Amino acid sequence: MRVASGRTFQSNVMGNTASTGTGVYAPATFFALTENATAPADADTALLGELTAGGFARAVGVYAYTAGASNWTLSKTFTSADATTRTLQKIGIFNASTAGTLVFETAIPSPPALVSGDQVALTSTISI
Amino acid sequence: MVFVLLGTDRPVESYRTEVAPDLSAKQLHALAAEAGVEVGDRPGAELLRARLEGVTRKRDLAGPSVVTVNFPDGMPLMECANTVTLPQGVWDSHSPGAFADSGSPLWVGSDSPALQALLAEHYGCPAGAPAKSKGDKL
Repeated sequence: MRVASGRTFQSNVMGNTASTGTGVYAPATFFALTENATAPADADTALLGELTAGGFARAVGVYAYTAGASNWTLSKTFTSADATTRTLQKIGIFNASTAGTLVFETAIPSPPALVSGDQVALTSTISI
Repeated sequence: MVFVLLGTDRPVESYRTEVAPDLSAKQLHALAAEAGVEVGDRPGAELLRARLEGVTRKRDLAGPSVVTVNFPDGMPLMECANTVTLPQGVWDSHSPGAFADSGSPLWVGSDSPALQALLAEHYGCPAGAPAKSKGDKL
């Protein structure tokens, strides 16, 4: 879902003449992950319980777009280096490597449980 | 920044199905079963609804088209290639099938000759964008 902070971000990036494509206007391309299993909420501005180590720290995704489509995707492959089994519940898309603006938050339909060495390819689909 | 262009004659776009706000828990579980959404951990109705809203489906677009892929600075070559080719990766998400059924691009172009050659060999398709597609990079 596009959370409230994400709607503000998007309107600023698309319509505010102050938009520079950097800083608070930087593209929302950073994947963040959490094991927290509460449903995403419109008022969320951070990803509760964001994972910061073990191969799951925030990282830039790969942008892909099919000309003419009404969506684009961000993809990222994560490899667990964590001694603890991690069940990935939600994805947050931010516009910075730390802090930044939470733009999109999505519950993973079938949360994968990963042990060290496991790899998961995640794709976030964003509708225009 | 490295980019890849993938030619396709079967372009698709993804969309989400709206989940009506007044569905009962029983109806949500029926939808989850249909969509293959995980319920083994007994998610509450709110979380189950969120999981259902995370499910995407594909529909055809008029073709042909080009998929533009932009990689972050410094991403290793093999990681770039894997992000495109792995199940549930970029090509799976931008082609009609899934996994082994996702077919191959018509051609692969890139500003990285090594990545272009690697992907063309993987998919068994021509390396290099046709002349008329070279200006499609956005």
